[in-house]
Amino acid sequence: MRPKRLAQAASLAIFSALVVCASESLVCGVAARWFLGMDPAGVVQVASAERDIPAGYVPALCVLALTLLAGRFFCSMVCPLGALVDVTDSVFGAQGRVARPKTAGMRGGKYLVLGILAASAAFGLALAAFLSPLSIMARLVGLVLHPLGMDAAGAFVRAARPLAEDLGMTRIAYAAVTPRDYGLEALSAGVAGIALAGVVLGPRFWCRCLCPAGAVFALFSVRPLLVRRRVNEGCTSCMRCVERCPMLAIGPDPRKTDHAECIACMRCARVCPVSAVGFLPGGGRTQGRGAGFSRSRRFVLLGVLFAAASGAVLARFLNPVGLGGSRVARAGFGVLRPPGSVPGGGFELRCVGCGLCMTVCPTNILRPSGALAGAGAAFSPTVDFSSGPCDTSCTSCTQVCPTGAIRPLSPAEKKTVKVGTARIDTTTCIAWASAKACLVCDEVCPVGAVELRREPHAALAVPVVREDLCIGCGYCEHHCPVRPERAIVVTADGAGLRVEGLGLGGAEKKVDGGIGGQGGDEALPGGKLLPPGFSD
Amino acid sequence: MDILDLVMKWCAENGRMGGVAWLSRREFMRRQGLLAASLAFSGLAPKVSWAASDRPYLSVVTGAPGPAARMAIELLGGMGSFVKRGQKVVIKPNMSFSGGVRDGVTTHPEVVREIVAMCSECRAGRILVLDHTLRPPERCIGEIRNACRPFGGDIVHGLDSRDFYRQAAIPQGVDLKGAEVMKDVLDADVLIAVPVAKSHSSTGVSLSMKGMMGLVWNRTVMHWRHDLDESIVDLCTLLKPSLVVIDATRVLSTNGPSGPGEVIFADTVIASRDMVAADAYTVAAFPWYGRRLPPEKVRHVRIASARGLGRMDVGNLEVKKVTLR
Repeated sequence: MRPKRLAQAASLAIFSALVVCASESLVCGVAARWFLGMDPAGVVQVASAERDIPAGYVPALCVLALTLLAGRFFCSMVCPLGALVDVTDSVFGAQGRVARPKTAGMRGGKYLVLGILAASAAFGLALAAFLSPLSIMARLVGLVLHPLGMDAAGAFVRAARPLAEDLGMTRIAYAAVTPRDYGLEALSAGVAGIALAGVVLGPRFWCRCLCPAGAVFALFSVRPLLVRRRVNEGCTSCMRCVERCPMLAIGPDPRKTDHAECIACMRCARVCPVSAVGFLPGGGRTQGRGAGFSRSRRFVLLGVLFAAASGAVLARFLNPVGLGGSRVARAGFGVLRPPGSVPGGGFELRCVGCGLCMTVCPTNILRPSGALAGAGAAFSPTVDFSSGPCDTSCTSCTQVCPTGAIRPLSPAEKKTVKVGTARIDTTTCIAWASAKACLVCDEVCPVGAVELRREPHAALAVPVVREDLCIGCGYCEHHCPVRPERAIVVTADGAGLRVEGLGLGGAEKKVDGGIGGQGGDEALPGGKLLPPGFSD
Repeated sequence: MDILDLVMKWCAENGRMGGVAWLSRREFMRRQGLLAASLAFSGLAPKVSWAASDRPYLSVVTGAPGPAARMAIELLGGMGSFVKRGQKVVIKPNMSFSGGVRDGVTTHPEVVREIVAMCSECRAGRILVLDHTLRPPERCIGEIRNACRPFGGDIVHGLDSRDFYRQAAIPQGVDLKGAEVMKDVLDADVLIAVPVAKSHSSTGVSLSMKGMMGLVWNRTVMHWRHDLDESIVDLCTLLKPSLVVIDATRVLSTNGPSGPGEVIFADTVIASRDMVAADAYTVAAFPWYGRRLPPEKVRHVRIASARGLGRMDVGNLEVKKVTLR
C-alpha cells in the first residue's frame, strides 16, 4: 500500500478505535481527546468566542507548525473525514474525473465558512459542531455507528447465550451488552452525509470548498518551507497531474502549484509518466501559485464583511434565547450540563459538539441537547437521567473535553460539585400525595440529601431535598417510579457550585435519634414516633 | 457493650425467656394463652423438633467475619445439611451499593467468600453470587468478586439486563402475584441469603426478606404499585432461602439503606433456616436510630409472621451463641 493511503487508513482506524473504545476505557477517551485537539476549527471558535486557546488544543498548534513546513498533509493523511471523503469519491468515481468540475472556482467557500465560524462565535453562536471535520467524524463514529455496533453485538450475545450456557462458557453466558442510545442520530449522520455528498460536485468537494479546518491549514500552507510539490525539468506538460489532482491545485501550467490547495496526496507524483514530480525536501524548482481563486483585495474585503454579517444574523436567530423544551421551561433553570461544566454561556461557546463526553459516559446519560439549548447548540451535551444516574465516583466526561467546556475534576471534587439540585413535585410524589412509604429517592441517594420529615398534614414522613447536600447526581430522578413525569427531578439550579464539607466528600449526616437525622423534634427520642420505616 | 446481653435483657423484660423476669400469675397466664393462641392460629409449631437435636433454631456468632460465618453455619449442622453434591447454589448478598466495608451498606466480602468456600467444600455443582445492583454493577461487585476469585473467576454477577430474568407466578401472593425473577434463582436448587444488617427508610430494616427484592427485575413497582411490606412477604413466599446468614459484622443503624449513617461494628453473624426468625432476631439485637425495638415494629416481619412464613417470637426460639476470640 502506498504510504499516503497507509497513513490515511491507519489514522481512520485509530480515530474510530479510540472513539469506540472510549466507551470502555478512559485511556482511549483521553487519547481521543488529543486526536480531537488537532482540530483548528475548534481553536478558531474558542479563540474567537472566549479569547482563549485551551491546553487541549496544543496538538492543533503543533499540526499548524508542521503545516508551515510540510503543507496540508493533515488533510490527506490524518483527517478521518478526509479519508471517508476519499472513499466516497473512489466509490462514486469522482476521483477518475478528467474534466475540471464546475466547482473549480468555489475554493474560496471554505474561507467564507471559516469567517462565518469565527464571526458567529464572536457574536455568541458556536457552529464548530456542524463544521469541524473531527467533530463530525467523532459523532458519526461515537454516536451513530457505535450504538449500531452495540445493537449487533447484543443480538449476537443473545443468540449465542443458550449454546454458551450448555457449553459452560459462563463468560459469554453472562456477557451483557448494554445498548447505547443518544438520540439525534439522524442529524449526526445527516451532517456527515452532507459532507460526503459533495462527491456529486467534484472530488474532495468538502475539503476543497467548505472545510473550515482546511481553510486554516490553507492559510498556513501558502508556501510550505520544507516539503512541497516540486517539478523538475523532465516535465513534458502532458497535463496528467493537472487533470487528476483532486484539489485542482495544479495548473494550468503543470509546473505551478497552488500550495494552499495542495494537500500533498502525491497523486500527481504517482501519475506522472516521467517521474518529474516530487515532494521531498530540497531539489527541483519552486513554482508560483496556480490560477483559479483570485485573492484580490476587494474579494477578501467583501468576504470578511459577508462572513461577519452572516455570523451576526445566525447568532441572532439560532441562539438559545427563547428556545427550550418543556423540561427547561418547567424548571426555569436552564439546561443541565455535565459535571464540571463552565457555568453561564461559556459552555455553549466552547463546546464543539464532538460528543466524546457522551461516548465515555458509562451510564449513557449525556446526550445531545437537541432543541433544549437552541439550534446552534444542538450537539452540546445535556444530562438525561432516564438511562441511569451520574455515578458519583466517575469523572470520565471531565477528562475528555478538548475545549475546556467541561473542566477536569478530581474524584474528590466530583463528589462536591453540583450538576444541579433535585426538586420534589409534592403533588405527584407518592409519599406526599398518596401517603405510601415509597421513599425510593431516599433509598438511592448516595449523599444523604433526601431527608425524611414529619409534616403536619402528611400521614407518613415525607422526603425533602436538602439543597446544601444535593449534588444533582440524579439517582433519585432515575429511580423515581412516578410517570410520565418523575416526581423528583434534577434542575440546573446551583450547577457548578460546590457542596462544602458535606455529603460524600465529608462528614456523615447528623443523626440525633430522630427521623432521618432531622433535629429539633422533641417528640422523637424515646417518644411515640418511631424511626423511619418502623411501625406499630 | 455486649449487644447479646441487651437482647437477653429485652427478651427477659418481655417475659419470653422463661423464669428470668418476675411476672404476676395473671400476666403469666395471659402471655401463655397468647403464645398458645398465636402458635395454634398461625400453625407455626415446628414440624421438626429442633430442641431434640443439638441444632439450634438460630446461631449467633461473634468474631471475625469469615470464621464467624463459618461457625454460624456449622452450628446449624454445617453446609452439608443445605447443599448436596452437584446442586446449583445461588448466594444472594447485598452488593447493591458501591460503598466500602466500613460504610456498612453491603455484605462483607469475607462473609460471602466463606460461604462460597463452604459450598465449594460440599462440591456444589455450580455456585453463583448474584444481585441486581442499584449502582452500576462494575462499581458494586468488585470487592466481592475479588474475594471469591479463588473459587472461580466467574461466579459473582450484577445482572442488569432483562435477558437474565424470567416471569414467575407467586401463587401465595396476596398483593404481588408475579415478578420477573433471575432465571438462575428460579433454576437453583439452593438459595442462600447473606444480607448485611442495615436500617431502611421505608421498611425499617433491610435484612434477608427485604433483600429478596434484589433478585427481581422491577423492584420499584413494589414501592408504588403494591404495598411494599405486603409484597416483600409475597415475594418471600416464592424466594424462600434454605439458609439465611445475616452479616451483622457492621450494622448500619441509621440512614439506611444507602447511608452514610451510624455504623455499629458488632462483629456478629446470625444464621437460621427461618428468614423471618433471622430478621426478627437481628431487629431485636441492635439499636435502630439509637432505640431498642421489638421485631413486630417492622411491618414486613409482622406480616410474614402472621402469614406463617416464619417465626418472630425470638424469645421462644433456641439460640446458640458462640464467641470466637
